[in-house]
Amino acid sequence: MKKIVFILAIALSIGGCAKEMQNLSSAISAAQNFKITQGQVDTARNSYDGFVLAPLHRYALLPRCKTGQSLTLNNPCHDRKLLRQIREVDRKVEDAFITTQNRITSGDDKGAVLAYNSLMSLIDIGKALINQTGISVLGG
Amino acid sequence: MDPVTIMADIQLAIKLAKMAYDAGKDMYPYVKTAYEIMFKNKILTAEERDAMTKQEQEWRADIDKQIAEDDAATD
Repeated sequence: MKKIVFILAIALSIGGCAKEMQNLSSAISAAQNFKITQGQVDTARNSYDGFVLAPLHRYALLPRCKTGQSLTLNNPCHDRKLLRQIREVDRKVEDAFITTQNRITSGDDKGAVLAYNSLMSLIDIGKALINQTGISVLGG
Repeated sequence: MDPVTIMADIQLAIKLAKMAYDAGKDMYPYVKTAYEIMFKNKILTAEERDAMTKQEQEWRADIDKQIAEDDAATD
């Protein structure tokens, strides 16, 4: 029971925390913009999985909205165009993570910074789109 | 307030709580790990990376399956 209450509290408060986490992450990135660490990429990946990919998965599993409908509490459904659009951005994010990781592994610091900045821009787009779904009210 | 309205509000609140719980359950491990990497200098193990990659692949496969179903649907 205690765990359920804790997870509920996290879910409801996490929407508010997301922005602060992102700001903090950006501040750290800016302070270290001469080199991207493995920790930064891992933090970005976990944040992305938690704030974008997990909600996107949950959104995709909702029934398809009928024409003119949108997600509400009484009618949880996904918009097919929006789902496709977010998945396309997700594909680019997936590639950007691989590129950034490869640059770090090969010791290309300058390339890693560029790839990481590009990755963060794509993640921002993904977050903005997932907010449009309405499912983020509960945790995105 | 009449009892029917009160019951409807309670049902809505339960629905919201269930959705919040489900969403939080998916997100929680990732947010926790991100926090630990940022503030507790946690380093991911190879097993943790593999588990994360596997979960991402499963989610993406489900999403792609749903997109394919949407494309095939006539409604």
